[in-house]
Amino acid sequence: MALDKVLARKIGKDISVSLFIYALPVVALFTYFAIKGQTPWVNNTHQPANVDVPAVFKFLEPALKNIRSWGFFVIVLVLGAIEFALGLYDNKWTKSERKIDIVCFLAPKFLLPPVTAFFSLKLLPFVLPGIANEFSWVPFWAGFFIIAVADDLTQYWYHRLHHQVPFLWRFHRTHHSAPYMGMAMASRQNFIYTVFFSQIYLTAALVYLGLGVPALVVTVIKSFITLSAHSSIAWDKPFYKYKALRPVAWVLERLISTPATHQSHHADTVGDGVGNYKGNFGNMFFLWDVIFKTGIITRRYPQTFGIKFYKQEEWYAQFLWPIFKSKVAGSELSANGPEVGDEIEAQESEESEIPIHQQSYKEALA
Amino acid sequence: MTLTDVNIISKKILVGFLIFVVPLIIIGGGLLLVKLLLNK
Repeated sequence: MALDKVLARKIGKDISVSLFIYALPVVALFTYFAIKGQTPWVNNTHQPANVDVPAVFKFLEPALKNIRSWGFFVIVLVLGAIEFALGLYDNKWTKSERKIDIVCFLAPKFLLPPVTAFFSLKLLPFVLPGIANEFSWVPFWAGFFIIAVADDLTQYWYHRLHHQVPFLWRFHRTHHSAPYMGMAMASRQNFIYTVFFSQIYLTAALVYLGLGVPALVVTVIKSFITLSAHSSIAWDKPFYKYKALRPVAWVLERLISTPATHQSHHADTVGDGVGNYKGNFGNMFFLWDVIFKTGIITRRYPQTFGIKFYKQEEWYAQFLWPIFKSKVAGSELSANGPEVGDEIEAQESEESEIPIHQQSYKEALA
Repeated sequence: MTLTDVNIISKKILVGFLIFVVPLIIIGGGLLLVKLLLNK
């Protein structure tokens, strides 16, 4: 299945804009030093970056400092238990869905660290020898913006391309196959999608170059925003309900991903004016969707989640496709399955109407 | 796993690598430029 030409042009244009956005924090840093007349890299006159956890979050400090290892694990378990206690998974968390969620949550905790450790400790010093901590003179505030933009804009592109480039879709499909929303969704991914997450390696490279402390802070903030956006706990509801909070909501929903905007991305339809599964790609920042016009903001929550072309494939196929294929006939994950099942269904069922995916492309391009 | 699958994974790795390396060059190159341009 070929990439739509109009969409390909739009992707090319948006990538060009992104290159400029990546450079913005560096340009701001240059302007700052030029105005101040500072050159902190000369004789290492800079202060080493150090960030204290605010007193109110002190009890979370061990988990936050170990966010990349067991910290994230504990936070997800606690929040997941709250969701479960509130009955937010309904009866859709079936035995097979539970198995997929648990495998996708646990297995990468063992499989991913050796890969990232090899990249950070062996490959980077080999490819970029002698320049470890080369940019340790970058002030914390600048490092924070550099990492926040680099990490999240890269994830935006990684995510967006897996939706818009047909041959990439099946690597991301597992994240969308569940007919519910919840904490478990944040880590429910095909392992090949996870292991080649570009932003993990980009941030690791920037840590190697000396931006370790800002990277840790961004990772903590990003983990909370991403988790809470996937959660079935609609923490953003009060911001829409109370008039006094609506200006805050206006800023918040354009800046970061909220349950309303991200649940819209996980909806199984675009026909209800709430779902936008071919848009709302932002992870930490929703701002990218605003800039590239790929998002919709409705302040409403979809009624149903998942994908129409779901065939309850086996856990091993969802976790390790294409290494292991599904035995379910006609599945996207089976040996001769379609690349994007929904596209075929839409074309077959509604010849006279605009196919559902093209509708969303047109909305995105509007 | 078939040859087609290997091909798809290779293309996916290439896309991921480009998404990783281009920002790294912009940011790393940009920070080196900051040093070069402001060095007295």
